Amino acid sequence: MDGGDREKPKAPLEPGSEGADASPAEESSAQGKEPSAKKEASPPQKEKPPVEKQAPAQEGEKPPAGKDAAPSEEGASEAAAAEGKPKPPRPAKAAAKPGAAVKKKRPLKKKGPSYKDLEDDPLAEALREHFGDALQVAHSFLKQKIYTVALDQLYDIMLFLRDRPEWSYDYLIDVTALDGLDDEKRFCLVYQLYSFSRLDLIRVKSRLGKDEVAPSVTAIWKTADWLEREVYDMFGIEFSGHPDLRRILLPEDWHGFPLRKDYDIKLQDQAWIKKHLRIRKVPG
Amino acid sequence: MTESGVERNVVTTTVDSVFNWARKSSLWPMTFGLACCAIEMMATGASRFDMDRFGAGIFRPSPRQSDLIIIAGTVTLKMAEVIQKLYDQMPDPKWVISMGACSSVGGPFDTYSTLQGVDKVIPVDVYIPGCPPRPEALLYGLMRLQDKIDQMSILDEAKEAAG
Repeated sequence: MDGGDREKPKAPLEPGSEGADASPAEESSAQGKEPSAKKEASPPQKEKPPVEKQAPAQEGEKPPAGKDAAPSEEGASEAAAAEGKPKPPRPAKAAAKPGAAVKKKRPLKKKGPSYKDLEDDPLAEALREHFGDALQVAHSFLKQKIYTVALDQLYDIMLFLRDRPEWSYDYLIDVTALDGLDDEKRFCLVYQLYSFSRLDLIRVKSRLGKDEVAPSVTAIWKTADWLEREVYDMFGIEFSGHPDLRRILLPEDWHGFPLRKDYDIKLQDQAWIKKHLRIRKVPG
Repeated sequence: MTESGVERNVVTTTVDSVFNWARKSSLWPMTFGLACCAIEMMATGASRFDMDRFGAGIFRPSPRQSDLIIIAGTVTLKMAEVIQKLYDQMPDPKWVISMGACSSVGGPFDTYSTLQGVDKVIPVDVYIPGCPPRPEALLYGLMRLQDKIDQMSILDEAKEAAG
């Protein structure tokens, strides 16, 4: 066991150290420069960025080696600092940092991931072509593709996604829901689809109001049976065409739907407890 | 005649201590785990900690053959109903160990589905704190239960039975 553990850290090192025996040294020298530059934060460092810029240019032959060497045994921060050298975009940032002082760092950090509209997405185009406005929004979040579709076309779109050979989303990973209590359409159904042949993962969303009934996709994916029962159990969303729509986790004669936002987190069905449990008086 | 034989070959004792010694030395727990505590319970039963050293290693698959139930894990309301039924099926005398924070007071699950302490549905003899408790803690709890059994009296049982 010990031997195996020892070998592991070595393995990632070797590809990097082969081609770039010099690179660790360069890294260490670079590391020596950067912290000092940060600490001093004074005019002389302005001379250093050009030096840093030149370094990658001189190393022209070695960037891949540098990249391989980056995830080595050195500390994460050191590795990050070293990584900055060979990759073209980062030296630019590093060069900008010393001049731009500390204040400008903050807005950069605050910029988190955000929703973006999907552009030139073949699936979005195909859905628009076949279903028109039923595809309400197509956007992405951290490279995850999300399609929001109209409820009345949901079944047909799901069938389309599974049956068309160019899409063939043959695996329904999960069905869940969201409760936006104050929204015009209160609930949002969320389907995770996967295609084994294309190794592709998408998310399909569909909003529905409090009294609306969703179409069941059990006829398309058998696994939707229990998943939709769970959504019914927790949110009280009903599915038309489901073969056996009843509670799956909570007792069958339970009242209320616990994952709805207007359901108190500690609320227990006292009527059920009274009927089924003999609650003792706890001594003390 | 009597002077030579009796003192060396006859032990005098009380009925209570014989009964209590027999009961505490062969507790048969029920094979009943609810959550992660059950993993520790299994470890306690296995060779490293070896619950059998205390005579409590024969986990029975049926409540009718058990005299100890270790509530090892989160008790949901739905399962509380089952626990009551199992407890009722165990023959007297019977004991209950509440293992871990969840079964003792609900643990972190102060929610719609969780019973806040198994002592709301069945009487508990020993509570073991921890999340989950180490096997040593379970063994210590078991020994405390044995101490408790040691203090039982048949007369008390008769009084209880009489109401």
